[in-house]
Amino acid sequence: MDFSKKVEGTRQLGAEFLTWLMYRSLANEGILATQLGNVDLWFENSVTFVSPLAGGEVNILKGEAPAEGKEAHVSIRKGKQIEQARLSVTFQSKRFEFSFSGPGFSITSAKVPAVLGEDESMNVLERFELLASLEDIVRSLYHGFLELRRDARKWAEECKRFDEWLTAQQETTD
Amino acid sequence: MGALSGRISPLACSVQGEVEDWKKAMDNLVRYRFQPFDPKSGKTQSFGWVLLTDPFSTEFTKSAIYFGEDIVGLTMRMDSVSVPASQVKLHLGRRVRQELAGSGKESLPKAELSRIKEDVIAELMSHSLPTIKLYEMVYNARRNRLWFFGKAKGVVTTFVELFNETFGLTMTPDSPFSVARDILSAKEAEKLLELGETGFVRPDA
Repeated sequence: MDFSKKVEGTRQLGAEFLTWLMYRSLANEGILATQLGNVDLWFENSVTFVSPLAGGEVNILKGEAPAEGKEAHVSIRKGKQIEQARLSVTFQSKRFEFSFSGPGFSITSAKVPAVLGEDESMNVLERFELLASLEDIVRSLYHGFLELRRDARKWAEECKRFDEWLTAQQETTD
Repeated sequence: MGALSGRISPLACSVQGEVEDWKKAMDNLVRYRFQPFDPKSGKTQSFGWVLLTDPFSTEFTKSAIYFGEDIVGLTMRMDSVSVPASQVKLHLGRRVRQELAGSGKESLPKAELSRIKEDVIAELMSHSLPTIKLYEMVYNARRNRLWFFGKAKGVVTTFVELFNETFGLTMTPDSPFSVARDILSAKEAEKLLELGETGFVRPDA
């Protein structure tokens, strides 16, 4: 199969990854275990839900912690998945904030921790080492997702837990 | 939103392979450096490498392009001149009226109109200043990662070719598939194609 077809044929995994991240973050008070160690991850002020069905209805939720609200719960229950979100990640005392597109697997508008290089050269070096660290964190989270997603039994169990968690959330917010 | 300051919004890619001959790559930087053009020459675009920290310099010393031991930073500079179609139309109308008045004819042949139009465009171009566009690039050779700060399809295509000609390397933009291939293996990533869509929760609960 042509490489571009493989890319297009797996874009949905990016949205699944983001949706799973939201569940794991909210269900575990922001703490996610990765190969690198525990990561503190939160969904910030913008979340875009898209229906995977043809014609994909789009729901853009903005405001304070929109992923925690009733509208987000309803969107997930309707089968929508998160294609884009503003996230914050804290790892080893370094805090990053960025927008992440699941289908594009792209980081945009990233705020990396303050850089205090002695000159411009050091600043560039430090900024891009920090960006690479952020990519490592995201890849480590994605690895965790893929390990579950590729195992039918583990994935079914994960979805069951997701469903139970969502039901509990909806009972609380109703 | 660039490489040097502010929020970072790159097109992130994995680079395949390693630079085999850095001396040759440095020579290629000079070969493919940005060279200004004179709009009067009829040329409408020019692109090439300039320093990351100075878009008017092509002094590619090691200390100017290396940031630390593994990071190479450069900018692809692209200059172009263009004349708005509305301006061409105005000046063309004036020239056609002059030609008709001078010749006493009622209309001009199509070939003559084309020639006048070309003259008008060339004349307007020669009075235009090129627009400068800068697209930064940071390449981490140790991590095989590259961040490019341009997203328009045509610009990315030009950049990929320029990078390949200069460093002899190809790149793959990040996607759920390509990143899975980096993390797992090509064989394991292929298996992802067989996964069906997932429904996380029961729709009727």
